Amino acid sequence: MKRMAAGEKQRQTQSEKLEALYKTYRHLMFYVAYSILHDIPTAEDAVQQAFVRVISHIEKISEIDCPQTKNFMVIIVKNISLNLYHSRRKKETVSFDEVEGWMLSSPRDEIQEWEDSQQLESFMERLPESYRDALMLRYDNGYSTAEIAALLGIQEENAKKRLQRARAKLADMIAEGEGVD
Amino acid sequence: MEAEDFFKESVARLRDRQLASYSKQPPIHIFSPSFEKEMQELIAKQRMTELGTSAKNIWRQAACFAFAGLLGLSLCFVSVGAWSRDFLRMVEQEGDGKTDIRFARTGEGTPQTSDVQYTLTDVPQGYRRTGHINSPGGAGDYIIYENDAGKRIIFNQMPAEGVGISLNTEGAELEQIECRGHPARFLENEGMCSLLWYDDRYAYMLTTDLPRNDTLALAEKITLKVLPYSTLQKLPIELLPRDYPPEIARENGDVVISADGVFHFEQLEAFVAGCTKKQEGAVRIVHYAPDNSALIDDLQMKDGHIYYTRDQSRWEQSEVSFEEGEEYDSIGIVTNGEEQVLTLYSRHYDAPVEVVRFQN
Repeated sequence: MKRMAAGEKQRQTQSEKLEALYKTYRHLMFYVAYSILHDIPTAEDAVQQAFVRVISHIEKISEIDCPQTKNFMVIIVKNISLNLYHSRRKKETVSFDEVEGWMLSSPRDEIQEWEDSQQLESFMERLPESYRDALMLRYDNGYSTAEIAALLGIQEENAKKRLQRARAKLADMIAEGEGVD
Repeated sequence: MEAEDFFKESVARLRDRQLASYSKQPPIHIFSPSFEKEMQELIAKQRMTELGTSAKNIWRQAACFAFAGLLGLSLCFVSVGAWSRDFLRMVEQEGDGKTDIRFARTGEGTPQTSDVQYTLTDVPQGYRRTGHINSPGGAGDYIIYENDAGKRIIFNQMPAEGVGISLNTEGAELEQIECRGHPARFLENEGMCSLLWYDDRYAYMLTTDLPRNDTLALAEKITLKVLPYSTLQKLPIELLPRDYPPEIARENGDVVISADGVFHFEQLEAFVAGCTKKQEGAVRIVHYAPDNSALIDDLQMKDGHIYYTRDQSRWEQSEVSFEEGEEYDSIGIVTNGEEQVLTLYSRHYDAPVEVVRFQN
């Protein structure tokens, strides 16, 4: 959908961006939320909470209708929906940061030397979803760890751990030449 | 390749693969009225925040910053200066470097001013309209004009009762004058001017960085008009008055959907037929709720595209104008059982967008 001519983009205010995001992605976001929550009012709550959360970081969104922004909106509403789902079921959200046994080592040199990015991509797919989301917010959307923490509703330390552990697990996968469960 | 770039490349491909699972257009969900209202309020709040920020940026010396909003004024509000006028009177309270103004009933007379909107129509050369915020339940109607040098004129019309205005009067004097035959206050501070006047229904604020005489002239001679109903036809949607009853809409030739039936449907059919030939044209559709509040849709065929704008600010479930201004490729009237559905199509959407339904 052509939202604005190229020459007008620099004049788009944050409210205009918010409105454009809402019009472009509200149905997709509801679809994602509903697929998790299976309850219309709660799914609408999730969508609204997602937009509230997006407002604080909207200045970094330069283009409305693009894969990075689409994925960003999906990640946010998915994260909120999962939290609502778990809180409704009165179960504690499993925090990968708290499970023992995860590798804590820093990224190894193997990542820097690895040239087969398609293999790396397939390893990334095997990471826990929370790690993948953190990686995408960091490397695709360009958010800092503090911003990622705010977007995902977690402590900054946990956001850092997710990124570190994601890279560490990828390094292990590359070194071992196989995925981990 | 740096590890960082390597990661970015891989993450981007991962993202695309994940998004591929969403390639099919999800079902169009009809959101609840409460959700739509809350989202509109969220967007409107963001607009108001930007307006306040923008005004602060313009007058960054904070020498003259005037804004209108709902102030929770207590009953012990002391009237320092009051100027009675018929139905309403202006009440001022001087504080620390500021003056708060509100309007109270005199207990006399009845309001004579009808529910109409004023607008600036003869702005100084070089100025163009760059913003319009309409919040009839809150701070009223803001219209913003700018020129290339960044100079601004802001005109605000707001319901006088229930609104408070705070003027930064530090180092400046609030002058009592008359404007357009009404009691007014004028404030000039470090090159910026605020002119406030009121009638028995609305308060009006003109804020500029023009010289004093230019500001006064703008308000008195050049710009403000009541829009008579006879000129309403083909007016831009944002300039239509708050009160837009069905009989006026029918007189104006709008396609009207009301409790009394559907009127001028043939105009819509003609517009749709013209669109298939890419003939330029326009049509306005006004739907009325049982309380006669209007939902207004404008459709225009221009340059081979159909532009769709909706104003739902008059519906009670919406406090803020929500003008979509979207672009579509084609339009059609689809029969669905006992109804006909006016539908818009875009190559960017898999699903059509429904504008309005008519009973056969």
